[in-house]
Amino acid sequence: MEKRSFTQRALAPAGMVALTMVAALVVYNNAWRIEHRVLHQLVANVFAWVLFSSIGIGACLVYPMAYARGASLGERVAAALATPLIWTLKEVVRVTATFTWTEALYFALNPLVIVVFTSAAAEMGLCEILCRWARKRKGEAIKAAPYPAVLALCGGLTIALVIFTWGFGVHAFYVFQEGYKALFGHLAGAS
Amino acid sequence: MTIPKGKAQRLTRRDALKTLGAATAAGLGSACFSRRAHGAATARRPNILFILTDDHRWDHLGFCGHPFLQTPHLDRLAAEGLNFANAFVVTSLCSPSRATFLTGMYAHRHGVKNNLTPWQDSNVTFLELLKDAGYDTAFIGKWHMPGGLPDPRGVDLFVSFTAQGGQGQYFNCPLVVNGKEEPSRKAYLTEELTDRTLEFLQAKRDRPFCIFLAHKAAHHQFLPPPDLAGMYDGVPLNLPKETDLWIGSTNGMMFEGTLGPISWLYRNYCETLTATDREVGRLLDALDEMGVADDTLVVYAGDNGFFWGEHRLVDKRWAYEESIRIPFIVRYPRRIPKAGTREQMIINPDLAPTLLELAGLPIPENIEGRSFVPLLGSATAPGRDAWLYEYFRDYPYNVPQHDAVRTRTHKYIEYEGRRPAELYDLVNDPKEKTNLIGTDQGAALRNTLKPRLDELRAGTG
Repeated sequence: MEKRSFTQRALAPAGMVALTMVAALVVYNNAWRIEHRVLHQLVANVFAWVLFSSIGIGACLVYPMAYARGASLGERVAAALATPLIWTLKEVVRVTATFTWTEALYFALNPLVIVVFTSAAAEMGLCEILCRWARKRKGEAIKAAPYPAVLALCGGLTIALVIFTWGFGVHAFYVFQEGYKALFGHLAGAS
Repeated sequence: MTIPKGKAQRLTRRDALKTLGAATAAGLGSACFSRRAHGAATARRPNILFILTDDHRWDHLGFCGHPFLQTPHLDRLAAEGLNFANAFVVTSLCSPSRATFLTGMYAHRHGVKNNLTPWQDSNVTFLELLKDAGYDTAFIGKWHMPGGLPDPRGVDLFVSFTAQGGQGQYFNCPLVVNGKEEPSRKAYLTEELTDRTLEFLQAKRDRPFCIFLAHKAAHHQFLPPPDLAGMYDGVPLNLPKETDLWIGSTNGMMFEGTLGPISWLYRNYCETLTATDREVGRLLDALDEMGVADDTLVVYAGDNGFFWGEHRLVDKRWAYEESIRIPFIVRYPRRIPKAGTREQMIINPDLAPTLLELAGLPIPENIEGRSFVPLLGSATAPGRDAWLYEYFRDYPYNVPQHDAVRTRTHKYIEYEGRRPAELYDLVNDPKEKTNLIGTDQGAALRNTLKPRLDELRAGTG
């Protein structure tokens, strides 16, 4: 497999999805300015889904692209996680409008962020297996399902599903809140 | 239930009629009503049934002209009593709001500033004061104040829950009854709490009763009972123009419990409200059947409003009208001979002093609310000219701490941190679309509203 330049094998796949996410966010957040009601709803719906998809399943696009361009495992993982990381950073910065930086950093441990990252892990595991399987079908002597990939797929999927199905994330949120109270309870009423 | 054993017998309708007949025959008037008559005729002290719902915004009632929401029992309550069209909460958030209803004090005084700061047992509730004055008292439903469930003073029956951080769950919610865990007997929580209320209500007693019924409904996850689920499928929702299907899932708002398309959430919300209305109907029917409706003050209120896309927001917290205005209906035939609407502004700290005054009790000095008893009999009695709104930051909701002054015609909001102040003309811009800060008109108004806000903050306004 040809190893392309760092820009082509890692930055381009990561940047493509990250820029899509940023563009979708900007368009979605401003769609309400469109006077025509139907057009507003159409634009909002389309770009909301582009936004959610880029964050939630962007790894499914980035990882195989990086793989096909010869990126190393570390590069593939970093590229696939770039969009969730940028989105999380944006959320943390958003929270600093009201809370301290340490409270905002704790925000990065909320169940939604965990679901996003564990889903990305599962997607990367799946993509690794599929990419290897494709190479194996072409005759390469390669293990199609290495343990780390299977672990990422099964572990990531399990955690995401448990959080999501356990009261639609509500219970996990209250666990997160208990953690906040334990760490920052002294700040809760300090106003 | 801790009503003394000897009194814990059910009073039948026949008993009540017998008692009534005997008293009438003797020509002794209400003072001679039997001591067995549910306390309804105990001097002039009213029985009190306060029903607090969660996140029920002020305009989501059939009689308010909602295009499809059915609330026939609340419509009836309003038709037989008074609808306070300008009722507000002073902090639009569950825990502070219910603490304010209980104590008559602002959050800065009772200490429950948000959903994380604990209830202080030193707080005195109107239930405690009424108990001291001879009432049988009950708190039934959502307590949801940090610090766990208390052992509240002056409460004969305390039914609540701890599930989901105290929010409770709509189906099969485990209860805590006077400190002991009990399973829910009904699957749907609103029905279970109504059943518990009816049991307390119908217990035989010789004292008046006061019940604080606090529903989880219609808080998220906005779950109606199965027989009402889907009743609003297909109706046009007419959500605000500025919203879209995904508003509740973006920019951190999913933490309000609004993950998913807003149309689905909103229909569920309305169905949950109709379910709650049905349970209110059961209570009103029970009061009628017991023959105590005339002597029972029924108050229905919401703990805060709710955005359904207005200002591109969901949830509450902010000082905009959709968030701070609440339904507030009062029925008390003995003191409200003529049904109608009151336009004067009242706020949730006003409930406690009003109940105390109606019960003939002195109002403690530390209560910050003002009794609205004068408004019960007069549509022209003077009301408030301005009041203070306060919001304290509540993790992880990205709403800055802010204070506001709300007058009959304007609102001025000051935020902590980066967000600039806002000023609205509520007469010409009731949806608060145009911030007047930065305009000549705004500058002139700010010169009067800013000092007023400062006065109110200082407690001198």
